[in-house]
Amino acid sequence: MARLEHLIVANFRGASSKLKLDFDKSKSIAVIFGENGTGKSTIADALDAMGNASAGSLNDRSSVTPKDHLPTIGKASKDIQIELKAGGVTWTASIGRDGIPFAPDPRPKIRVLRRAPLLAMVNAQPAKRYEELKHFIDVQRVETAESTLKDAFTSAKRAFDQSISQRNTAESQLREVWTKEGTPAPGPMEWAESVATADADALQGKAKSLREASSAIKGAEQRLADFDTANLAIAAKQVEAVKVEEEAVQLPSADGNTVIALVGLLRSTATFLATGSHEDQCPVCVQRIPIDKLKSDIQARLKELAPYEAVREKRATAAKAVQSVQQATLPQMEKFILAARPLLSFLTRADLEPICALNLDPNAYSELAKTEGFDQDLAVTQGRVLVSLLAPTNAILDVNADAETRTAAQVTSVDTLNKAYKKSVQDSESLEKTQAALEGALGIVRKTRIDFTQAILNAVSGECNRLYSVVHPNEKVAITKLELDPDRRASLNQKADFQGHPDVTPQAYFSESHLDTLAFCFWLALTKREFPNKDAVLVLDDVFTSVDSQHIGRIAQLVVDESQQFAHVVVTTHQRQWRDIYRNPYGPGRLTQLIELQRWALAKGISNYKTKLAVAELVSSIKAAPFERQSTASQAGILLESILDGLSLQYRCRVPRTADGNYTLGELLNATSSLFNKAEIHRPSMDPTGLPQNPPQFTPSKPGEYFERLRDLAFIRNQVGAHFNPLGAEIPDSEVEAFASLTIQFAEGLTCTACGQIPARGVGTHFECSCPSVGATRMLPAML
Amino acid sequence: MPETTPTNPAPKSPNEELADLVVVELLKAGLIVDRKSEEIKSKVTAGTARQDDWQVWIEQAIDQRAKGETHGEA
Repeated sequence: MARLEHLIVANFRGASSKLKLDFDKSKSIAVIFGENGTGKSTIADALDAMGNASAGSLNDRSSVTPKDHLPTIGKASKDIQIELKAGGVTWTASIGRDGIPFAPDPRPKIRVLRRAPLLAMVNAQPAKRYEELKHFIDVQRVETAESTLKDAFTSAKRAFDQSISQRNTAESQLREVWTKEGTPAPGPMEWAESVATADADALQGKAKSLREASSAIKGAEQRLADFDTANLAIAAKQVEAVKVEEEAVQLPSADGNTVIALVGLLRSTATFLATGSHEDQCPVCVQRIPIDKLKSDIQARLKELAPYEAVREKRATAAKAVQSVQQATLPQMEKFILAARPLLSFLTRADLEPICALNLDPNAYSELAKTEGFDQDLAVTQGRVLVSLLAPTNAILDVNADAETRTAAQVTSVDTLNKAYKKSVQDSESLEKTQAALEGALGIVRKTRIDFTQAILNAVSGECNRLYSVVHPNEKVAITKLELDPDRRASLNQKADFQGHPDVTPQAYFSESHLDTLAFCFWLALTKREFPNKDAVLVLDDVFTSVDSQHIGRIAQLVVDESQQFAHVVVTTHQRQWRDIYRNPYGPGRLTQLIELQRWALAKGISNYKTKLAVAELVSSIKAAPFERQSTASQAGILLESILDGLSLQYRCRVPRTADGNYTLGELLNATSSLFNKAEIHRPSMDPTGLPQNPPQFTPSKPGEYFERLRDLAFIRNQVGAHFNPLGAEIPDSEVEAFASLTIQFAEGLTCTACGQIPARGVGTHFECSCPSVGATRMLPAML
Repeated sequence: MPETTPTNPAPKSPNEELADLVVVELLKAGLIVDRKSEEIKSKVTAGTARQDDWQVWIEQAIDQRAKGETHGEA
């Protein structure tokens, strides 16, 4: 944003008629002087409304509403007109139902400081103070990210703690197993590691082989038993058949077997005749015989031969039984052979140590080994031998199998525990790294945040102190601490050093004037930080009312110095001292536009005019026609007094003590005469482009050359400019003009041609004016 | 004194400024990897960095460090 060009205000607060303020774009400061009630705050409020959509000073008053009370009395909000031009851009604003609409966007950057909020800022509670600084130090979003980082760390720590617990559990379980195993050397972990290297699958495989061998032997034993049982059944049936034959021998007939055969024939014939129809003849001999008689004869004969028929039936049954068991035995034999044959493969298996130990020769069982074309009985015999030899190993095989199974289970268990332990170690190491890194990151984020905010606070308090020391040099008063309350969010504590007492509450010990300055410096430091691009307009609305004349001079100088940090500075004041400081050569009048407000009336509103600098006014007076000798002499005298008053303070010149601290022109001339024997003004030499040479070169001059002549003419001030005096009437106009002209030459001989200021800023070896150091006009010596 | 002031880029918000510093410090400490700087800066500035994000960023740095150490040993 550029410097202001003009402000037009109408029907807004005191601007009952159209007010146009034209700003001098060549000057960085506009001082608007007016007594109370002349419209200063109206101007500041108009700028505030434009720049901040604020009701300005009305905000500090009760029972007022912007919509109703911003318009001039008797006017409505729609009548309000505010127009601001700067850098070729013209903004307009009005008062709406819901605010202060403006155009174009964005608003001009304007910051307004008033006395009421100024003091409130210093006196504010820490939370309110934080609000003022919040814009610069609110890092809520980073704090949110920090919070999630903290969650991540907490979560990682929890996971790490859990992994440690799991690690301890795994270690404890391993120790327990190790202890049960008799604490083999060198230690549980090494033991577990070595156990875990065993092949549990191989162990399981071996156990399985042992069990299979045992099972196969048992199976063969069972098949053999089944086979033997079958053979016993055959023998039993054969005994029964023998008994039937013995019974046949006991029959009465000599040829019992023939009778038994006859009985068979008869039974068959009877059976044959029992079904169907038959002719009356014997079906065997074909002799004619009634069929019924034949049937009856056969039955009679069978009855007669019944014992033979009984034997015949027993014989048939016994033979069938023998045949039956013999048929059943054959599969049993085959099954046995099939069960015994695989046992041969065990004889050479190294993993079946109990069988290997028998050292049996497989060749001894060659018939059993054959799968076809073998002698079954021999195979059975060989199988029987083999089973009988192997059967005793069953128990050992089972025991060994169990042992291998147990070992395999232990290996699996230890391996599982060992793996769990190693994994937990790995996990815990990994989680420890993650946790440590997250903790480190959290620490860094937290420290960076605290350092960041504290650096801002330090910068603000440092700048505040620097500004403060300009106004109150050599006073043991400063802000020592500006820090966030560690226990409360959004709360800002301030402490100050007061006369060697650190960390006191400034509100309690600082005078009102000091608090004024402190608050102003604090606000100025903040505002400078807010606008690092130096593109804001600063408005100081009658801020300093409790500051004494000595400090006003320093504050005025501070405002001049700091005006370089802003696009434009507007100072409104009801204190004539402000006007006089800038108007007289002790202020940088050429950098400052002086605007005076006249007495306000509803009918004419706010009116203003440009104030001339004292020297310029005196020049005008000399040139004026008719020549006003009294006012010219008076103006020259006042100008001369103001210069000598300032110089006597600057150089601590001796003047007679007075009760009221006021001194006559003659006293001031006497006091400063020794100064002008030595004083020199060094003006910077310019290069061809009009800029100060760098490194600077100076052209010295001696302002004292006018001093003695002025002393001779100074009486004119009293005799012509101040009193009724007959002698004064005898002084010609030319002498009055000479006095005024000498005063102007004297003033110009002392002041900087750029800023218009007498060098008064002590820099050690000399004094400088308000211009940047390389182009500053110097005054020597630094002290008398 | 110049009539107009130079127009510099808009000043960064405190969140942006702080996020920049945080990323620089974390990088310096080797707690994040360089290629993630912009993402981290952006999420920290916006306050949208989640717990998982931090976990991943940190673990990436640990991995990278481990690889570096391995290569160094090789």
